[in-house]
Amino acid sequence: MSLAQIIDWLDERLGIRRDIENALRRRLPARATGAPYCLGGIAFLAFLVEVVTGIALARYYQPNGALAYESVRLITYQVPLGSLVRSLHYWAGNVMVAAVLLHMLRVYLAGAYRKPRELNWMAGVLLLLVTLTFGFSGYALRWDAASYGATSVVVLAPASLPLAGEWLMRVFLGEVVITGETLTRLYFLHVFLLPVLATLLMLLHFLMVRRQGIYGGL
Amino acid sequence: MKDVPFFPHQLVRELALSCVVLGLLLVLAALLPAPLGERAVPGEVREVSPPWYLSPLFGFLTLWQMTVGGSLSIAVLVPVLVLLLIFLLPFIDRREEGAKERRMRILAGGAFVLMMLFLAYMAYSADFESYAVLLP
Repeated sequence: MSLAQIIDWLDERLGIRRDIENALRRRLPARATGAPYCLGGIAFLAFLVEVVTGIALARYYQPNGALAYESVRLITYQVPLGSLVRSLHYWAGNVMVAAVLLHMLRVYLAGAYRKPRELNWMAGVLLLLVTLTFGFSGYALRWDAASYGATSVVVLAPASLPLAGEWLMRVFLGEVVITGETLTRLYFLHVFLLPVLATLLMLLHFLMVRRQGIYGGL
Repeated sequence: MKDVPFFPHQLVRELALSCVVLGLLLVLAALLPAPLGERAVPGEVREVSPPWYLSPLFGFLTLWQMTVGGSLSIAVLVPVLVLLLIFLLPFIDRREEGAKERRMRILAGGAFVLMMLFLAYMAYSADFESYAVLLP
């Protein structure tokens, strides 16, 4: 069966031929294809790498204070290709944060956050927050002395917020001390809540880019 | 300026760039494996080393402790406020685009990036003692 036949089969049922053709034929302004414009795409690519390597890591990782560190050791030293997959996850995470920050700087310098793109800028800032929380919660999951110390500072600092700080901490993390249970809750953030949020926000972010086009004020 | 169709021009370029990025990630992962230190002991903070993207935040907290001191409750509000301002930026800067506006924007952005770098430097030069005061 040729590709054309598959598309015919799908088109008969879903009527998608025209949408595919429009998407492929869509024209982009040449200036929007230069190097500074690839940063958002690189962040998305890194996110996809995180999804794939993250699923692989989740098969061995134990989100529990007593077992977490040992399971990371197991992944690193025993599981075939474990060290490579874990290192890919680590590097793609760092690249994702860097790409998001540089992408944001590019959009800021172009002034592309102004009308009519206010909402997409806000979706982008939320994606930055999601990305940073991804990074931080993933760092905590390693559960070695360095990441434990940094996690303690980050998790306990908001607890000193006036009025709601301690309450917030209790709601999200259960305790205002970092225990093995905190780790389980950060794991839930890292592998469920944040991926869902990130996917929804990215969908919005990309749809808005498509609807509004690329800013050309420079 | 001329425009280009997504297919095949842009698609080929994006696939090529994706291959380069994936290749670089593989090289980085193979040459510089993800670190793993000593096992954490719950309740016992022996070292604090923030990931690089949180270092401006840590730098700010240690700087606050060294200068203002006292409760962290106000220090924690500052980064929250900064983030809120960034979130609402499109409603704060509503001027028409012009050469002057562009210059101002680049200056403000440059100053912000420099400040972040300075705060990150503060975090890296801080010793364990200055982090210890951040913990209850």
